[in-house]
Amino acid sequence: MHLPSVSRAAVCLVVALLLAGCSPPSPDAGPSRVDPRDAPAGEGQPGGTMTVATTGDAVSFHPYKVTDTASRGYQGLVYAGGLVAHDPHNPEQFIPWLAESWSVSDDRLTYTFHLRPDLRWSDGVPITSADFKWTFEQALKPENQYPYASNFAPIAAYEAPDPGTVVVTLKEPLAVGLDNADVIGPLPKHVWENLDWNDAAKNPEIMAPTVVSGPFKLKEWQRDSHATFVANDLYFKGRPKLDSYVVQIVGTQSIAFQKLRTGEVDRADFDPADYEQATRLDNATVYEWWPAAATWNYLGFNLRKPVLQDVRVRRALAYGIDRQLIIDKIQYGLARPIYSAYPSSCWCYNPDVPHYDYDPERGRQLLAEAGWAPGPDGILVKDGERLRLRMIYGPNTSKVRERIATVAQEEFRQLGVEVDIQGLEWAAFLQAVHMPPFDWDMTVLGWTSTLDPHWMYQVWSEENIPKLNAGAYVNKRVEQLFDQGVHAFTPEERKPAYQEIQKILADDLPYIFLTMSKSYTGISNRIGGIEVTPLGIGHNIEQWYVK
Amino acid sequence: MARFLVRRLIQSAFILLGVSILSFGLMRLAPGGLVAMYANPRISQATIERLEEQLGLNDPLPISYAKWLTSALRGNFGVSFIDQRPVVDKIAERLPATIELSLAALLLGLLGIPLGVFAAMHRGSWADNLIRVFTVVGNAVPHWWLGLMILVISANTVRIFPLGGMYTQGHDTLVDRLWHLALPATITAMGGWIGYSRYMRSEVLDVLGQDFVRTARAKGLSERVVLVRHVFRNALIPIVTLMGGVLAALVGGSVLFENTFSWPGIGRMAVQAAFQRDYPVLMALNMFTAFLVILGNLLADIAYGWVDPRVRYE
Repeated sequence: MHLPSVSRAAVCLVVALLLAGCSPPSPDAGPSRVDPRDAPAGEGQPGGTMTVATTGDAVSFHPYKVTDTASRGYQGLVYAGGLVAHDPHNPEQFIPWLAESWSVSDDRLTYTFHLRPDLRWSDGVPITSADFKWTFEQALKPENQYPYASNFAPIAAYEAPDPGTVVVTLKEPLAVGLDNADVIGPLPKHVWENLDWNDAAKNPEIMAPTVVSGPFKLKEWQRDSHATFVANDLYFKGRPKLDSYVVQIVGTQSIAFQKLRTGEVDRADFDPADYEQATRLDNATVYEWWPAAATWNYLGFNLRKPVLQDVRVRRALAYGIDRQLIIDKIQYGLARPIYSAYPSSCWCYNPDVPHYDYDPERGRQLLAEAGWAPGPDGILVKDGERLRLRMIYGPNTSKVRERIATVAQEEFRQLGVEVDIQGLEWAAFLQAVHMPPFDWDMTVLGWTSTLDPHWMYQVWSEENIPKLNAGAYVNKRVEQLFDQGVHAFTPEERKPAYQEIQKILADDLPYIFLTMSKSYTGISNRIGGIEVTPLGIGHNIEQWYVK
Repeated sequence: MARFLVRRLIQSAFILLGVSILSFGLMRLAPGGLVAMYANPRISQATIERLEEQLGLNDPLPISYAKWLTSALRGNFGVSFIDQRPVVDKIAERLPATIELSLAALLLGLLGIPLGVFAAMHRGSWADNLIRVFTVVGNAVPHWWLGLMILVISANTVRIFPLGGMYTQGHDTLVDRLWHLALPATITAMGGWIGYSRYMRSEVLDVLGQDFVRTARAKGLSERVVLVRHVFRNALIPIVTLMGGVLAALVGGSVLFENTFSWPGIGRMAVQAAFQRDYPVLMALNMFTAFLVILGNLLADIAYGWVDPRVRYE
């Protein structure tokens, strides 16, 4: 059976196990570099339709209820996002978004945002700070069950002193203060306040929003078939050049790719296996970038297991893995090696950490030092116990994870380590990783890094065992450094802390860090205005046009 | 006949009850839970626990089953865990697509019957051999894979078929819909062609050798009358048995074919619900499929009486 769309969405989530910390609810359709009013008009005539193929349909347009990747994509088309945004060309910097400017008090507790004066909902009503405050208050109510309610924990007060001003007071001065303050993408109070926040049967805006702030308005949504969006004349960055934008749901990525080839759709994401062929298409271009929020793969150790508590064993296994083989054969060259917890796209990246490049001989030596000696069948033995590890991966439909597990099994065998692999269906896998009895030794997983390095503390802190810190890694020095990093306020002051963290993690090796993936997408040559940045291509969707 | 029906309906109620207990139990025993929540690290453990409590996932199995049963009996299958919409609405929204594909496939599939009769009448001919090769190969190849291959080949050469979907957005005409329907319906119907033609061929050959056929011919009946009145009717009996399962098989098949052909029906929804552990949707679909199996078999039993005069219902 072919990979159903759901599990693929799930793969993203935890290839993804995304940690976007506190970014505003504005997914793909993000920021722009300059104030749009000063921006050159760009090329291309208004008009035309762009059709994109995707394998997973959205669940709902409610930004404070539903948070899966596909729904986030739809929400990002109709809702403009938050007060500030990351600069697509310099992702560590913030740029004005719905707020045209902001100021921070000297004690770094109070953030005052001044809204752009020209903001309008699609029905012409001004977008004001009252919309922000009202949305915040609804999402805050426990009975409304906002899944990311914990984002509000750092906030002491959220106020709207006048229609053009939002004032957010935080409980603690932190480097990620702006992330913490910018937690709301507004919903239209004048429409929603008369409707039910939770129940789609009593609130048609949840499934079919009519009053929106984003580049597009929803025209029609036929579930599991397609959704049609049309340009919003009142979008604050200007009316999109495209008249309409159609999302078409297809069964599999291979169908999406064929549709791109034949010109039935203008954009498709496809399997790495099709990449080579895609680059040779006459009618489409493959756009590629190394994303600032990089997705990376790793082999995680279960540090509850006595055998794996010996760092020599972990390092030996790391020497046994040939990253270049994974990059060339499994990821079709669309990846780079990584050696510690931050990808090279981070400003905090530290290249000067132990590398454990492929060296099985060194691995065998380390295992011998740790007291493991070959038994009769070549498998290492110590105190009568064979070195046999159980490696699990999920979802069992993920080809990449299956192949990484198989390569690791073969390469560990060369070291004298026996590995049993088990692929699990997604839900079962999550349960096995996150809940007792933790009867696994290694797992194949991935993370998508956050733009600010701070948020990754969740993966390495004791308080997040067993959920985010599934392998139960504890190092108080690392937690202390994260604390230090978030209490400094310039990149120069923060950098040493994150650099040391990378060094420690590469020494301790709770994971074998493998590769970071390149992002790419295929777009028809009839579409112009695409601009590739470290944040991808969605930031200037209103500039896309049909040639 | 009436007594037979009443008895069967009572039996059916018990079967449905059994199916519901089994599916409910199996579903809850499978590892995993609210995947959308578990998979997302930004959702705190406290939030998940509150949700589980609210959705009744912490109740002991018999209690949560009893709750489900009492509301299901009143026609309320609950709301989806994923988007909080009533399950019945979600199914109703996707059912027309599945019915369209299934009905088309069912009707096309019936072509297997004349195919089988033809093969039997021309036993040993090149046409018979061709049909047999087709059915054996057709049985050996997974049909969803064949569909995918045709799509890929068609995309790379002459664009005979669209690449899935029910219609072209913005050009929703009858012709366009039929064009989109042709390939999925044909691929889904293949199961029918293969099954019916093989059964039909062997049954017709079997019946042709019976005494009453010789008698009919000896009476001087034309070959046409012998075939239609005597052979065909007798050979249909196993087909009727097959047809009993066809309703459920078509819905079951839709799980595979709807994905291949990007068909927005309940099959795709079932797959999604299973992966996301959307219990209310899964239960409703299970019960729906069980109902179709029972209905199909009941209709088949009634049809026996029509094709086989020896069958009488007491």
